[in-house]
Amino acid sequence: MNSTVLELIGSVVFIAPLVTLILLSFIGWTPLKSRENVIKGIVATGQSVALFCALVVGVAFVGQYFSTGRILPLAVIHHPLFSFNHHSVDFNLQLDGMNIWFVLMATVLSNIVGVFSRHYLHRDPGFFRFFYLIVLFLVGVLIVFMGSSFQIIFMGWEFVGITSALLISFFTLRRETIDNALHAFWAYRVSDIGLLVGSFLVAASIPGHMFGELGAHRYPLPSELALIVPFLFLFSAMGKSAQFPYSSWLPRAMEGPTSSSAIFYGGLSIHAGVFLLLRMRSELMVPTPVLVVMAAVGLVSCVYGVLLSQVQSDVKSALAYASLSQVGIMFVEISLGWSQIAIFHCIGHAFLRTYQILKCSSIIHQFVEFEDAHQHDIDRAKAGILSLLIARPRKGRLFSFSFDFALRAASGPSDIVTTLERISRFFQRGEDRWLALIGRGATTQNPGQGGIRG
Amino acid sequence: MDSWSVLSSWWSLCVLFVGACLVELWRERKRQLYYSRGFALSVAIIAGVLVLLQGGSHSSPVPNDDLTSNVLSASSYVSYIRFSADYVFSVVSIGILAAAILFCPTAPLVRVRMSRIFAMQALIFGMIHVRDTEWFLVLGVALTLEFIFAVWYDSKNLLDDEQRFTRARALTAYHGVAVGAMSVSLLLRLVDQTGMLAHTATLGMVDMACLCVASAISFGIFPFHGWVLPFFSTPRATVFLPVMCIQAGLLFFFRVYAPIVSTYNHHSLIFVGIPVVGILYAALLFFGESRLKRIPGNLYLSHVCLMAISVVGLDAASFTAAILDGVNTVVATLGLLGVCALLHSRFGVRGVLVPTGLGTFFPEIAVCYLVCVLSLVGFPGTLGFIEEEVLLGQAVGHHNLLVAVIAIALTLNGFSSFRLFARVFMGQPVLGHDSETKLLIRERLIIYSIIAVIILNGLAPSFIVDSLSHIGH
Repeated sequence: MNSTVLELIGSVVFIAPLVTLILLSFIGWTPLKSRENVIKGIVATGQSVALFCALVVGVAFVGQYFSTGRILPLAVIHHPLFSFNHHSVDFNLQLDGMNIWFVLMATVLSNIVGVFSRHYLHRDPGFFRFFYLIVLFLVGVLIVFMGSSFQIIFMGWEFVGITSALLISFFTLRRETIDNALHAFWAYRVSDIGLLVGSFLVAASIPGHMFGELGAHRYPLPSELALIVPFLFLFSAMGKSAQFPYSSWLPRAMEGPTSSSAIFYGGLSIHAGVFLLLRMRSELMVPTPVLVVMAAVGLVSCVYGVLLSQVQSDVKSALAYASLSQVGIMFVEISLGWSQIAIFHCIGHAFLRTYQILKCSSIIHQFVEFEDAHQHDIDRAKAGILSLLIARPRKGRLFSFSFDFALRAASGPSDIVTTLERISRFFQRGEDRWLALIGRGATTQNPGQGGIRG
Repeated sequence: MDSWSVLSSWWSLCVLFVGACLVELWRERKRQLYYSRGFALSVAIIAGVLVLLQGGSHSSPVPNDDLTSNVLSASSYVSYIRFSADYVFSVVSIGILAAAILFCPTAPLVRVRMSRIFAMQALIFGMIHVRDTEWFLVLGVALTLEFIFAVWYDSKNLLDDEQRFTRARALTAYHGVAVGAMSVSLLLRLVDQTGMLAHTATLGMVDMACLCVASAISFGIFPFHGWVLPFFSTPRATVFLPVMCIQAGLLFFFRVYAPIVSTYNHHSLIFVGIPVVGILYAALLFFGESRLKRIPGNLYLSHVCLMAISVVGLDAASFTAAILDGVNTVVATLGLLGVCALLHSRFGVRGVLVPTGLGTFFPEIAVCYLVCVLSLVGFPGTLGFIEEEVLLGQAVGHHNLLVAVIAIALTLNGFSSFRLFARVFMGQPVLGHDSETKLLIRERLIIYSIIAVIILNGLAPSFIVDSLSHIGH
């Protein structure tokens, strides 16, 4: 296929969701936002067009691979943002032999979740808000997967983080959802430091760097940055993919609607860290200590996820920890240089986990109906596949250890947040006392006492 | 001097605002103390037109005096925009004054001495356009004194606030020091000009130190920031005084502080270390904040430190980063101030420890708040991201540690902002829905404008970056 035509088709993969987002932004200010059919139609069209174009590009790449033995990167969008003082920032997106599979995964899963959500959230007051955030998330995740440099990946990374937090707190009437959203957002923001700093250091060390053909050339970093930058990227990937010790946010993130939990923490968002590591492995020379730490993190996270999934009281949390352990295995695969295996593992896992999370609420419902039909608790031996939902009595030291570990892990970064809040209040009291001193008055209202004054 | 020259000179702006001040004084003498939006908006519109005429008149030479050809000459217009800091300041100044007018609640809820506001605006335009440092200092002293008097007038009207006089005294103390420092500097310069005292290095250092202290207090950089947070959190329903304060602060920063620091001690540990400490301190201070109206103040503190980092130890291109940061800070802080003022005037919301669910009734305000805080923490797609890109792009390679410090500070600010967003706009609504919860047209207009400015400049930043980069150089 003509490369120009292919570039055009590839650009539509990103442009279609973007246009959908812009349309929804305008609709949001009009009475049309309460019309479900309009929203469904626009979102479905945008997602379907993106999926179709991604399929076309994917097929073209497969054909290219079989004919030439390689897949060359295809620059689909090149938009210069600004430039000054020899520092230019361009918004470049590309499709290549690695990210096409992730892009296909993103477009397929978003379509599936879109279809599911049309029924799942029918007549929900937040129908428009949900689809707006899902499309915004899709735009962000496409920027992550299609970005041609680490700085572009960071742009999409931020979109993924904010949409995740807003969707976790989708059911805003409950206080717990807001707290859990903040918990997750904190983990995201801290891990974003790594990618932000690392991307700028790479841009300064390798000016004009853009991702090339998969594995064709790995750039060496200056000696003072050779260890720092990969560790920063690893730090970022750990936070986004909820690896130990940044895992406490993952089960809390299941507060959101089932469809958003599926696409975020089953399908796409949790694998963004894996994608980042794959890019890093492909583009930069990564020193061995980083690979060792990556493998160690993956192994520990895998064991951690398996242990904690045994002691969860709800199926979504159990699936969350199961995802965590699988992603840990992917970290190990990447550290060993098995990038192709990691890609296949990632895509297969994404589809499986998305299916499981989407299905879990239905299974519970069916289970309850089944029990009601039988009018007594079901005998485990006769329950068939539903036996998976019947809690088995567990005992033993491993279970006790897992339970205690889970309780400790549940606090997670709350301790850090509490410490920072204490420091903040200490400074605020100091400011108030200083103000009172020079203003010759009593200290102002205790910062801890707030509330609404109507 | 023909009519065109008169209209397009900055004198016309000063005359306009002095005239408006006199009109307001006359109304106040007749006990009409309540705010007249129509008159204020008319003055702002006329000032806006005069500023546009300024831009047209200072473009490339025109062959005739035809007013129409000057105004419609787009290319020469754009070239003027690119080369004049005065023009940018003037546009920003008029813009945020107009926004403050649109945000201001209707009478009879509000008692605003607009005469004072117009007088301060006239002084600000004078400070934008004067070239001599001595005249700048004279106007700066007058402006600071007006500011102090305005704060005391405000304090007398805040009958439900026990801390009003404490705050006013503290603010007077800070700005009194600034007035004193400016006066000392002015005196030294006048004495130097008359030749009564021999010019020595010591006197020069004293002069520079006084200017540094005065400007640092005026724009509220750490450790002279103590007045900023109480001032921004004062429970008033209008944003006029904060707007004047921000304008004055930026003027002092770009006209006094930045040239001194970049010329004299651009590698000094003090001028690098203090803003670095300041940005982390501001981020930590913000972390445990629960008072709604302190949000703009906290983020403003972080950004003045960022601007100070930009101009210190780096090159002219970093001035562009500082100016971009200034524009972003002005627009986003104005949006936040307006949001807080709206919430305060409609529901009396001042502090939040539990979610209040106001987003259910005020989705536009929630979006405006979110866009403004995301811009102030450098979220992609907003003006703040462009400023962050420019700043970090300059910092990397000069001071790699700065990149980490800025990233940490932005992270803390981002979390704190989102937490307060969640507390204010999410959760179970605690206030009943009634007709008062609908936004007025003027409020919608200004909110949509702020969102549009932030997002459009974030998505298509080349115009603003190109325009400001010439000023930086």
